[in-house]
Amino acid sequence: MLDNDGGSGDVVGHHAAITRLDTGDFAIAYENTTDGTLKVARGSAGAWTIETVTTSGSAAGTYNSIMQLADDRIAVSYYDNIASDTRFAVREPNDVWSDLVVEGHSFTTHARPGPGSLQEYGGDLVISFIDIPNENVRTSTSADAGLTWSTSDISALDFVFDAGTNGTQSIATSVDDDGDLWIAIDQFDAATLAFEYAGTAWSEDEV
Amino acid sequence: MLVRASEANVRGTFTTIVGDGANDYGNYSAVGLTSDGGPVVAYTDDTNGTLR
Repeated sequence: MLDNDGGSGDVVGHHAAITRLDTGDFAIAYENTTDGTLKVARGSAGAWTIETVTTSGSAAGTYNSIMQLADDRIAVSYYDNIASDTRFAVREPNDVWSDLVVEGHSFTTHARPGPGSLQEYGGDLVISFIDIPNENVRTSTSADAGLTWSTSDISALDFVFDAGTNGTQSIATSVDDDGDLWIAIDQFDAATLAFEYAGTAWSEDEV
Repeated sequence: MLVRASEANVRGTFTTIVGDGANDYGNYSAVGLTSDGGPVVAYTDDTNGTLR
């Protein structure tokens, strides 16, 4: 057992995402569903250090993606399910987590990332997410190690937004051995799509 | 029950990683690789509300 929140009875572990650190240990981002907090465990079997990253929203810590950045910091992209924001948290060298909105509801009411959404590409940080009500897939990019972000559209999607099923579209992102960025979109009521970025433009395929 | 597929499609061979017929394991899970390529799985036990 890795975390039972001190035996509090809280439900923990949902939306788990894992990455291997350069030390050989692992870092796992997950949600305390009862508290609505984002937590990160660092370590290996039987020896975990657990930190609460943020209580910024009452349903933070969903649709997590975690990685160790090139500058060694551990970073998480996640979705605040109450504010409907995509957020970025990073563990600074002073061991304190900083946390900021990448894409907020002033722009879209559901900016939802997913597994692997946080990537490093061409020296920038990239977070991919679905703008559900506007039926778009977008990326937010930071050229200053996560301090500021700019957002651009990749493509309009084919699904038709339905408030009753808005939880069913999902996104996953990865980088292949050639260094190309890939995004897969499950649209629930339309075709599954794959987008590839090889440095100049996005291409789109139905899967 | 938490299972793994040995193929990249749903027709592959599935192996039970953990399952005792009682606890609700693996509703949420994440897979990583050790430095020698072995799989590591973090998963939920929703019966007890824990991460394992």
